[in-house]
Amino acid sequence: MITLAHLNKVYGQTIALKDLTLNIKSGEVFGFLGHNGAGKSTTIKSIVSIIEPTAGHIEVDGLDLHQNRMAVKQKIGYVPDSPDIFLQLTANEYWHLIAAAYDLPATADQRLKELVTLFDMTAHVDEAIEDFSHGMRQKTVIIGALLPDPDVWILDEPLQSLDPQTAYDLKELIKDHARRGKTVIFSTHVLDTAQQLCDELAILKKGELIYNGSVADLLATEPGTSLEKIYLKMAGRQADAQHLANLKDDQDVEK
Amino acid sequence: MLKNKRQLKALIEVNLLYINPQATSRQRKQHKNSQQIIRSTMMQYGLLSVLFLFLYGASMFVINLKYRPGLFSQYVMMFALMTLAQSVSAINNVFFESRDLNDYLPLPFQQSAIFLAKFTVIALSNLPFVLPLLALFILTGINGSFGMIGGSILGLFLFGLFFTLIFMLCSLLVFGLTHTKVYQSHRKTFTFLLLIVTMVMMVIGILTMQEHQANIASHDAKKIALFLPLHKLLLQPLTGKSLLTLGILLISVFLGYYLLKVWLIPSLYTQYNLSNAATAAKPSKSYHARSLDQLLRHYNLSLLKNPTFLLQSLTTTIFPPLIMIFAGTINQSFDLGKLPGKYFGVFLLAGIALSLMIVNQGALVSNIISLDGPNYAFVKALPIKEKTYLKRKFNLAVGIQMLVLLLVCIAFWLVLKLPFLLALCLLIGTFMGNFVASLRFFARDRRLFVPDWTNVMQLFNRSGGNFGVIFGLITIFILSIVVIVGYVLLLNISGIVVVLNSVMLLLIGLLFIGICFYYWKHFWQKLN
Repeated sequence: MITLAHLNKVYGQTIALKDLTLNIKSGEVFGFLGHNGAGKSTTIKSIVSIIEPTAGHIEVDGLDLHQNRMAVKQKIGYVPDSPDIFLQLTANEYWHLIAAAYDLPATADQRLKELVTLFDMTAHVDEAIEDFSHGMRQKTVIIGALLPDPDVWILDEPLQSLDPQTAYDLKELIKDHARRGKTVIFSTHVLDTAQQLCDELAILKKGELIYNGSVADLLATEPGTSLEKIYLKMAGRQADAQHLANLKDDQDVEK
Repeated sequence: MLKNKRQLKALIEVNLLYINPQATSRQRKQHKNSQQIIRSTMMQYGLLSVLFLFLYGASMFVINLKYRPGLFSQYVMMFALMTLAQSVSAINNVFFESRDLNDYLPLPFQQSAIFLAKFTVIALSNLPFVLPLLALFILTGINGSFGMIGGSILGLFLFGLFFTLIFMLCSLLVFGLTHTKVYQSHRKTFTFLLLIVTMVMMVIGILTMQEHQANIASHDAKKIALFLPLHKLLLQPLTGKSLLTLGILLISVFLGYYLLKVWLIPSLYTQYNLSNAATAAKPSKSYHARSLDQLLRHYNLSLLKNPTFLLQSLTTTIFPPLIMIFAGTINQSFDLGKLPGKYFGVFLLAGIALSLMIVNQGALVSNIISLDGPNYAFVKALPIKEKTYLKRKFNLAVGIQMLVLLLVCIAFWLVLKLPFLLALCLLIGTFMGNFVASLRFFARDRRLFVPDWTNVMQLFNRSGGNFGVIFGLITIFILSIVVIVGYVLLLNISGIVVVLNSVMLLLIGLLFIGICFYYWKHFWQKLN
């Protein structure tokens, strides 16, 4: 179980997150949806310790992140939005670094072999990551995140640049991870993927939570309408226009 | 504990692979595995350290430092300043400029392990610069009351203590500064100032060395009171004063360790975040460009506003020849005011030689394309002619370099009290040399383009690396001296001054036009 309580993040004059409170249950696939700059990556980076929130707190399985940073990190496997990390290392060197970070036993080598085969990386394990294409870098980082078999798997826009086969495999892995009682959190712009994978969703807009609930519940609000249309109605231009119109009505009434 | 050891080992290995990325990828292409690359890196630094130790040790061996406390104190100051300057620059580079710290944040690494691994690598890369101190301490120690073996052990122990103390001072200075609000809001300016100050300190150190070299043969150098207790401690370790010195050193190291452990390491993460937040909080100044030219100039100038790049560029371009030349003139006063005009060709040549030494692979023009990073490929896809785009870059970099060379020429004019005509010839020579060298290094930058560099040293280390720069510098220096001295001799021996000067002018002119034509045909024309 992951709890985000009254999370705020401010950059100078810009509010990136505003009083975000969420509960993410174990064994579910949880998706963050929102436009660019909505606060998806800020939330994810706060959970994985890259960003320090301005206020609020985060708990993972009852452990406060601020108080137990190492223990919380130990539970999380993270796939960043940009896979351009540790470029000077070879794929193998990168995975061994991950193994050392999580203090994995020698038996993890077998898991590594399986993952490498699954992601079709066997021929490239001794090549430098800087020589990889974007998709291969993405695969390298995904393997690294899965290697410790983490309780919480967090992926920031993971399907970018993946070929159809790898994208399919990754989606299956996400489902399987959740089936084994573990938690998967991911952000995406692809609504079809969200609809296909997520047990629960959080829709963010300009740092604020505008929806939190199951995909089914969201679809039930307007039967027969696609998730895309519902989402755009809530977070798109249409919602802004509606919001402005409401403001204007309020002002007219006051007059 | 075991986990920490494993993490530390893995982190040190990663940092060793990062220390010279160019060499790492070169060795990877030779199918070497990471352990072989790490061993070779360690071996390289080890050999360099032994070489430095031998060179300085040999020069110190002939002097009995027991009777030269002044010289001892000057040596300590010089190497301490050099270590301080190197360490400040390295700490800034490794912790704040290299973009990998962020990559470690989500992983369950102990901060102390990340910190220690990075520090171990900084210490290793600085070892060649500090090992002369070890030679100094041991050579002084063996002349003391503890004898050969005892003195060597004492020297080794004191070296370790002194080295640790300097490293701690650097860390406290750099990380302490990053705690301040002023630094957080003016990060780039402060970093640049910090690096410049330490670099000036290093230059002072080198000049001090030059100054005392003149005194070695005659008498002891001027004493620096701060370091004299160390001399006493090495020679008579059991006296009250020496024990007090040792006590102060030990307390300082423990205090430094305590501050690092309690104050610095735990806040490493926060500091990194603060520095990121400060960057994010400050919106960039809006720029209302009117034309593509102005936009490109603004963009190219913004690329150059990288403190580490600017400093490293200054270090590898302008400092070495200036130190080489000024060090030779510092103890003597030159007055070339009465030099006749017939030497104008000599100064033209000297100007060319000076600019060829300054414009090397560390110059602005030699890296300005690579500073684009992935943007360059993107720009190629835009409806802008590559030739136009690169010309703007070239002109800007060459222009800035000409301004710097103008300042250098003015300095020479004033220091050497040159007649105006000769100073002007020196300036024209530097401009000509700057232009042709820039053509060469600009084309080289495009040929060896690095799209995804993470550390400016990767750019400077392309091809020959630092050894290449030093080798090139020395070669040009020696060749220039041979040509210039030969030319001066000919001017003085033969009576055909006009003919000689005309031939030289013609040769310089033809060579200049020839090189420009070559690059116009084989570089600029091919961009079409």
